[in-house]
Amino acid sequence: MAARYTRRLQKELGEIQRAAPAGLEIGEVTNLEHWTIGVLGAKDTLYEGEKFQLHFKFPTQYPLEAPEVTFVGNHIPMHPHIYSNGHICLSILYDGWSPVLSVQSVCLSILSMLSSSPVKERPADNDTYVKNAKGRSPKDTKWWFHDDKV
Amino acid sequence: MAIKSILKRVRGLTVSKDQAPSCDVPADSKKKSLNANVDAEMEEPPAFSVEDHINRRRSRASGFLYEPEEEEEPCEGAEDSERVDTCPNDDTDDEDFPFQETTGGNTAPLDEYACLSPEEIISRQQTEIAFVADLLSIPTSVAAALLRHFSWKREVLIAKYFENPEGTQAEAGVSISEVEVNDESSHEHGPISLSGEEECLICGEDSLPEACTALHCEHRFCNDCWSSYLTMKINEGEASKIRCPSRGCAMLVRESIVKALVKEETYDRYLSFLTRSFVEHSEGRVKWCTQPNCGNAITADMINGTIVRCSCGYRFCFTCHREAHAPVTCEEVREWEKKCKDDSETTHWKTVNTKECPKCESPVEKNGGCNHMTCRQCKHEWCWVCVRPWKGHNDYYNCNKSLKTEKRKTTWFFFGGHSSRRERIKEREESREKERAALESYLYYYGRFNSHSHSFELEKQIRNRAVTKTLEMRRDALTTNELNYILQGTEVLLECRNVLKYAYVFAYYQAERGEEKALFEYTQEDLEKTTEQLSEALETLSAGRLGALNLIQLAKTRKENLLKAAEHGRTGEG
Repeated sequence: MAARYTRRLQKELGEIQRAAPAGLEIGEVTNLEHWTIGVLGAKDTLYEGEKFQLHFKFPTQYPLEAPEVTFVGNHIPMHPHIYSNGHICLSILYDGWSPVLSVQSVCLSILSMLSSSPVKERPADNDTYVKNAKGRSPKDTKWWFHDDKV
Repeated sequence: MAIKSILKRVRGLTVSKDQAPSCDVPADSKKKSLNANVDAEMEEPPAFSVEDHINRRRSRASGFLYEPEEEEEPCEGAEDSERVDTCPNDDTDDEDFPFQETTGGNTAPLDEYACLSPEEIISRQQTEIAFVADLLSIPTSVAAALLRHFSWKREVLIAKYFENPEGTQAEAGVSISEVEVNDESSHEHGPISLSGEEECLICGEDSLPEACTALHCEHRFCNDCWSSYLTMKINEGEASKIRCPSRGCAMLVRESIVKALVKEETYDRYLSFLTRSFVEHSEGRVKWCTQPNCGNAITADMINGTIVRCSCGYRFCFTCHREAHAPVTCEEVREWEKKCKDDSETTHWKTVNTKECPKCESPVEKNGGCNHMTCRQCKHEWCWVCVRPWKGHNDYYNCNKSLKTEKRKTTWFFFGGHSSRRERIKEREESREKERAALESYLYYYGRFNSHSHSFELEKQIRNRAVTKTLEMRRDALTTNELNYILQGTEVLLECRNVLKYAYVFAYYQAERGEEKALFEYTQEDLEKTTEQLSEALETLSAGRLGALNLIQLAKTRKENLLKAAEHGRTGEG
């Protein structure tokens, strides 16, 4: 990673550690390329009181290239755009990525995606997708973003 | 006879009725036919005597003897008489060879398609861009972006632009004011003027305005980040659709900005991708030549036929991108390819090459030896030919049980109540017989197809040698007229080979048709013969220049005849 991009990542980390936005909490980061961020379900939503873990993996080209973001741990949110293996169907993580986006803006997008969900269920193709995506990065999936309401 | 009348129409030959069915030609008519042949094919290579030729004609598989009459020979005869006149012209025409178009007849006429070299692709693009820029009074960079956005469909773009200029610009992600406000040459770093130190939104570093660039959308980034961003996009193969890095911004990055911000080699790569977009985003109106390492493209507006010839010498089908495949259609070639590849043909072969033991029904393959079969499973002894018990057979290699007795026996067995299994076996035997015939027919056509294919590859080498040699001679400023006929000849030869090869595929699919097929096979045989002669003449140079030129003409005519006959066979019209 070019030095100035390492600096940007460090800057982002510093900011989020100093003043994390409501609903996000960052654990200890030992390796700058792998972060785990706690996400709290917002008040008055289906996910109120629930706690999830988001994993960020930064490629060497970050922020020109998107980070790989997945839910990890035992508790994966039940959501029409989140697969049981933690993969998230969200355009800004793939084709819609822009270098001006950041860890914070990604986390907030995911939080808002959770908050606006009217139902707690898995995507219709969950089983087949999870079977096929075994061991692969979600960035290798050709995503089809059909629903931008949730 | 219908075949003859068709023949007459297609080949311009008359068929003498009394000579037709046998080889017993009266002496005087033999002489006459000899004269006719001398006239028709007078200048054939000496290695192939006229008498030889007559004998071959006589022994045609069809059993008919077609004799051309002297006064009614517009087809080959006319070609012959013109030959002398055309020879000197040939020499002058041939100067540009191998870059000269040699296709004709069933293939597309010259004006229907054009072959573009990489340089011509660029100049063609520039012409288009200049035209649109001039018509719409917009800067060329905007015109280029608009054309790329509209897949080079000039008319669509112009119509849309006149209707709604701003909307069209926004849709394509360009802005005229961006260019108008900033003279491209005077602003090296940014199309819009920037002021004050600001944080770059990509790397997060504070940067001075002179080290930053922003498009008309005013999204400002430092030049280092711009460079990394553009380089990454270009390495991913993008060119004409690179947009501002800001989220959701549709503003296109113009060529001048790319040029200012990336390394030269990356810029070259970017330019080559832009050029490719002229072909790849043309929605099928421009296509790459399919030969490896050939950078040419063909632009075509095909109305008649689909065969185009790239200036590299490769002839291919503009519709399906396969090598030229006249007289068969794209669908038939696809089916044929599938058939040749398909494993089912192997299974097919196995099915027809084994028989089931008439007693225990286990499959048995006969891989040699006599007809006396002893089943390994049940030890039953039977005859391979008639599938009945061996008892009563005396000859090990010939079965004399006639079909007649077989029939009677079956009937008898049927009434006797034993027949069901025997009937079944017989039915299976019959269907196997049918399959065997089908396979044999396929293998026959496939074999011929393959052998022409093989010859085609070998003859390509002759052509390549000839091209190299001619180019060498040209460098040495020696006269090349003497050699040009070899180039022209190999070109025609390859074309004929290609047609012959697919003629067998055609024949395979037309196997059921009677009269048209006979006519087709007749023209096929003609072309095959001439092609072989031409091949020999070019390889050994035995026929000399004049002989070869005559053979070239003859081969061309016969190729046309075959294609016409195929067309006739397909449509059933004359």
